[in-house]
Amino acid sequence: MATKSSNSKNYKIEDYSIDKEPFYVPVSDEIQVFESAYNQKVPILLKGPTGTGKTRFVEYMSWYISSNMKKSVPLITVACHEDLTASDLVGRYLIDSSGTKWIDGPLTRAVKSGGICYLDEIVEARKDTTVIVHPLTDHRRILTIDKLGEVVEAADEFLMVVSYNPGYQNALKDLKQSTRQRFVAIEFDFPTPEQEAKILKEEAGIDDSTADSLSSLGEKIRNLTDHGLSEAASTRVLIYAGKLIKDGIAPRRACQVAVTWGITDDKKLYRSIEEIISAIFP
Amino acid sequence: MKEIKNNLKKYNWIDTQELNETLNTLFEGLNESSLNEWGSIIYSSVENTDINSSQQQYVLSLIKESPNVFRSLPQTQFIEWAKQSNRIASENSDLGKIYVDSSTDILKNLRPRHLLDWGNLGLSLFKSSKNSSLLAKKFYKLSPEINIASSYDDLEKLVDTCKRISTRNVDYSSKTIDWVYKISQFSPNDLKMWNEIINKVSKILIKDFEKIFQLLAENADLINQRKEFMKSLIIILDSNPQDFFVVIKKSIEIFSDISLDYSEEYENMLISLTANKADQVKGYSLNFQTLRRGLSKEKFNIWFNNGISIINSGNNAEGYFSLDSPESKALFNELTFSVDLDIEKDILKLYCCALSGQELGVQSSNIMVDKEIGWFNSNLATTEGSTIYLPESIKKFPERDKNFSWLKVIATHQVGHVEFGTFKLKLDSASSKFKDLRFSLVKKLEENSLNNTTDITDMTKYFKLFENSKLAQDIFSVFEAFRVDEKVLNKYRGISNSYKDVKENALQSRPEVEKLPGRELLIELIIRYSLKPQKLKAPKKLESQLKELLNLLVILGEQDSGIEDTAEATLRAYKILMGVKNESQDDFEEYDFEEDIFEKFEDSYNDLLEFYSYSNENLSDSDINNSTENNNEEELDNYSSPQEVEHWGEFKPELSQLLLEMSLGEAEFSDEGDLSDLSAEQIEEMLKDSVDDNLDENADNAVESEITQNLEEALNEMQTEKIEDDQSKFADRFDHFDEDGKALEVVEDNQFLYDEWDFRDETYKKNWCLVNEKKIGEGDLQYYEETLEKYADIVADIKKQFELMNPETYRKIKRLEEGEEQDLDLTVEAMVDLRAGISPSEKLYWRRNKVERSISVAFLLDMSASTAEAIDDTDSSRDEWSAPDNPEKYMEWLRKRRSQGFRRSYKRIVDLEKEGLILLLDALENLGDTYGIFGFSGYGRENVEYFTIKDLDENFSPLIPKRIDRISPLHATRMGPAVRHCTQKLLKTEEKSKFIFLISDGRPQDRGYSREGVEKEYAVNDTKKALLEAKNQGITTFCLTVDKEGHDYMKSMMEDLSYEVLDDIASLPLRIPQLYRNLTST
Repeated sequence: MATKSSNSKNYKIEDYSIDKEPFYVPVSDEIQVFESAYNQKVPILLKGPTGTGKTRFVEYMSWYISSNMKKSVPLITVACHEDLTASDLVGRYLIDSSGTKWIDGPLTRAVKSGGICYLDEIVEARKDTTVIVHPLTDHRRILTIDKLGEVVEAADEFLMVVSYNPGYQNALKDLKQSTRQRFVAIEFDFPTPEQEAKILKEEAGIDDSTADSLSSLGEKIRNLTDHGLSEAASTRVLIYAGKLIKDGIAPRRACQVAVTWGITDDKKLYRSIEEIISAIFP
Repeated sequence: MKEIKNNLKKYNWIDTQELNETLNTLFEGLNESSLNEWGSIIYSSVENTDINSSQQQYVLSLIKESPNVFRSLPQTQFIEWAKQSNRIASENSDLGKIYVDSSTDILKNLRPRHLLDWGNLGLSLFKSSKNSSLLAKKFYKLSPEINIASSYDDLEKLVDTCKRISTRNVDYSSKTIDWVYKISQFSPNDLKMWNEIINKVSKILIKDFEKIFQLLAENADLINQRKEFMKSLIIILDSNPQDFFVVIKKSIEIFSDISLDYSEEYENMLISLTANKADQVKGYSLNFQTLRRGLSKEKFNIWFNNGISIINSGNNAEGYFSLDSPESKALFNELTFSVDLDIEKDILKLYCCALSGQELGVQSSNIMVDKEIGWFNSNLATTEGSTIYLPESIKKFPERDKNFSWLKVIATHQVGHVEFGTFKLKLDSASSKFKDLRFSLVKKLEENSLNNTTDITDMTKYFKLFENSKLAQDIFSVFEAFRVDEKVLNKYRGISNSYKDVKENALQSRPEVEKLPGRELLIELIIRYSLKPQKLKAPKKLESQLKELLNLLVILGEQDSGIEDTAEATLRAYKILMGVKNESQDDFEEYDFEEDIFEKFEDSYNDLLEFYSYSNENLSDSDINNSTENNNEEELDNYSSPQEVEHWGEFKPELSQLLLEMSLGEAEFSDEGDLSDLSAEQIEEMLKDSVDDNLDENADNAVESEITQNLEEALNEMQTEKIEDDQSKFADRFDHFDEDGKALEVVEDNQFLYDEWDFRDETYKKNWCLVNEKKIGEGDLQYYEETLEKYADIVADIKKQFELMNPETYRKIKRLEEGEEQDLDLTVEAMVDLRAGISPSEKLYWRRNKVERSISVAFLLDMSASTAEAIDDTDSSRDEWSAPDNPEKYMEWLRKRRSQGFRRSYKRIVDLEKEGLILLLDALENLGDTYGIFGFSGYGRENVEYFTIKDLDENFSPLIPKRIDRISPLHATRMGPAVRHCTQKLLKTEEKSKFIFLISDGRPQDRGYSREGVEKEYAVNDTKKALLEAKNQGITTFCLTVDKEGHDYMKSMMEDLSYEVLDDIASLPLRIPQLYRNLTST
């Protein structure tokens, strides 16, 4: 149902599903957990530091479930931000030539069409927004649209997935207990160096030794989290570095722009990481 | 009197009334004749028939000023003065008038006897050149003011200067007076010095006066108040006037360059150099900036002081400070190129931690050597598994980068030992490349062992397998160093280039092979090969042995080799080497082993077993039978260890493993007994082998026993420390004791009781702590003002940011996509747009901002004694020069600075805490949050001090800053009760969000704030509990610490609570407001 405009494909929200198998290396039993949760209609909370594959995992699971059920399950992703209001999720009246017209929000569409609704970085959303997912995430599985005076019962295939990064040490950006206790949680952490090398190789298309070096760099930098580095180098930045290397940028430079400059502003850490890079990459 | 009146009557331009007054005054004090004399002076100037108006003005002034002058002068001098007035007026009546007008003023500060001289000065100035009437007028007019800040001598000097300049250019002369006057107004304290300087300039450098004067006049602000510097300028003027202009020009350039704040350094050095050898100052000034930029402050100091000491020792220092002398150049280069551990330490520490994934420290090798526990060479790197010791300064190469690479390589090698498990040798874990010999050998050794001593580490036990353990250690060291090098090179390919350079470098300094006896020769060849695979020159008869040895080496270089493989390879190599007589060799030939050593290694397991069982028997026999030992001894003694490989550092596997295991707390409970069983003899024995070489040099038994003692002490110390640290780990070994004491009781009004959490018993100790709430005294407002002034720009910024935060509480926000209701106007507009065919805006809603800011915050300040710790504050030097311009304030400033100088000239942590609060205070007042500031300290559970600086319900008043001034380091840190008390206070407030903002400098500690006095965990756990209690009551807590070691305990103390460890203490004042903003904004 995709319409094609010049270079990009446009989908309707509820039509977008993952057709091609995304690359994903399972770390432990998260696939089974997700699948069971999906079967049992239990919403899922993905937690872990940035760039550890939360979003990729959701994409993968959306594909996995679609292909298992032989029916496409749309994946509806909403990136939450601090101004995200309830009506951004549920829908709103718009004015058109004939008066006003109701437009469903992404959440409503997911509920109606039976897809996986993925709220990324849920803590970023305003607290009042977070609360509207409550009736959807317990036994009721309903969405109340007060402006319409309607209650929508979720389709069977509907599943709520949220992600959050507990690493941000912001006193006020914590998930409320009443919210978090509605989910089963799958914890994400950085992959082992071997797994990471495999991911890097696949994602960036680099050779084995570069992938090994990059994953080793990741490992070394993560050793610094206790020394003032607020967030460790994610797999994502390593992939970026890999991609730049693949495209012909000198490895040291690629790591500098993709890794060092991105993760810290601290002069000391900065130089230390440079030294590590120059030790690993010729 | 009447006569005078009558005589003057005819001049109608004279004001009779004024004349009468004057005459009345003079009549009272002057005798008849003097009065007449005065009269005749007046006549003489009015008698002139064609009197012009300026002459009239003069006379009027004279009449008017006479009584005033008269009051300050004796009779005779008064008349003299009047006469002189006439004289001057006869030269130029305007000048006379100004002289007369200024006389009263100048007499306020000038001694009467100088009055006439002063008049003469002006006159001489007047006469000095053709057009100098203006100049002289200016002089008379301004000198009263100038004189306030100087003396008559100075005026004389000034005139002297001016006269000299006048001969060249009268304009400049008059400018000079203007300028001196300006100085006297704005910087009176410097006037004397300036006067002196320009006087000297006019004397000595009259040719260049214009340009020098211009330079000085334009930049006087930079030089003002640098008294010593000005003194130096005078010295230069006296001794090397030709340098003066260059020096002053360059100095001004340096002083005015704010981006590079070298002024103070430059100034101090210049002063000291001038005092020592003024002719060097020019070179110094000219080159200062270039040189200083190339070096750190410390290094520059070294270079400079060296120059001074050359001067002091009477040697020729020609060209030193301009970097022309070879001596100076050499030192300077060395300083530029050398890499100092001190500077790179932090970076290297992070680097080492990152590579190893362990918490490693980085220290100077000196520290290890100073401990005197078996390490000797402070120029080598070493490690004992938990700290990397590196040489203090690297100056091997004439390039900085190379030196740093070298440092990095040797650090990487040492980290390699840690990362690749050198010290993790276990006798009972299998090797991957060899058939394990150790298992059966160790078993045998234990069986044979006659005296039942326990060996502390596996490493020690392992080396017991060898008869000649010195040889064994040498082989082991080489093999292990090679294994680590190979691993590093494989894993860290980026460093391989510099690594190769280092190895190449090492190769060049190896001793000649031909002269070495058999065993040493073979070991030397292995070392060479391990540094670089190459053709080797070896005696023919040792070819097969060498081949076998290299084969072992190559196996160790493979990727999956471990420390156990090194151990096994050593066993094999040892056998080979023992089979070679340690005698000189001939018949050398060059071999290229590269091709054939990769043959499969054939392990002659049984031969080895036999060899070792023989040598072991021998060993155990030797205890009983001394005669058999003689043979061996001869052989043992003539073997000496190979020359060290510099980048491998000092390698002490046995000691290191012991120390490492001790520090990990593994050794103490291993096998039977703990370390106290370790006898002095055992340590000695262990030391003997590892420190043999070095002891030979000292050849002194006393040294050996001293080292033994030191090591023993160090070990014991470590053990006690570990017991403290690892209480939790081995908790079960200790019974629970209850601390002595009972619940406390409240005696006074302002006391409060709190429970304390005992994490071991998992109970609260009831009413355990007594908090005394006190009001803090009041100090000075000055501190507050100074801080605000110091951070003026930032204060404004913070205020602005806080204002942005301030929500506009009840204002309607329009044009929203979502809101309470649709806005009628906007909807109409939208409909109009629709009708007109324009797409309407979607923002049709309005909303009241419901988020009402309702916050109360309690700042809890650590006032423990440790906050008195000085911090390095390079900033402080700057405000020394920010002296106020206003003379009154200047004196005040000076006085204060003096008194401060006695107290302290450095900054303490507590000062930064205070500064942070002050910055916040101002902004907070605007914001309208409820806030309180409290400090805590105390000593013991019965005396927890809780100071109120500003209570939550107290309004801001000047008292608050005064109280802040009094915050100072006191005693200990019992955080738990302080947090609890603070929680109670906060709970009484009505605000919706409540915060505790804890600022501390270290872990909580206090007398009895632990179990059995050693368990630090106790304090941490109690604090954690207190914070959790607060959290459960709906209070958000945040802890900011400046303790660099804070990461470890903060993590366990704060768990999922927010905290921050501030690495850069100096940023504390700025960080507090930032954090506050982040914390409380939604």
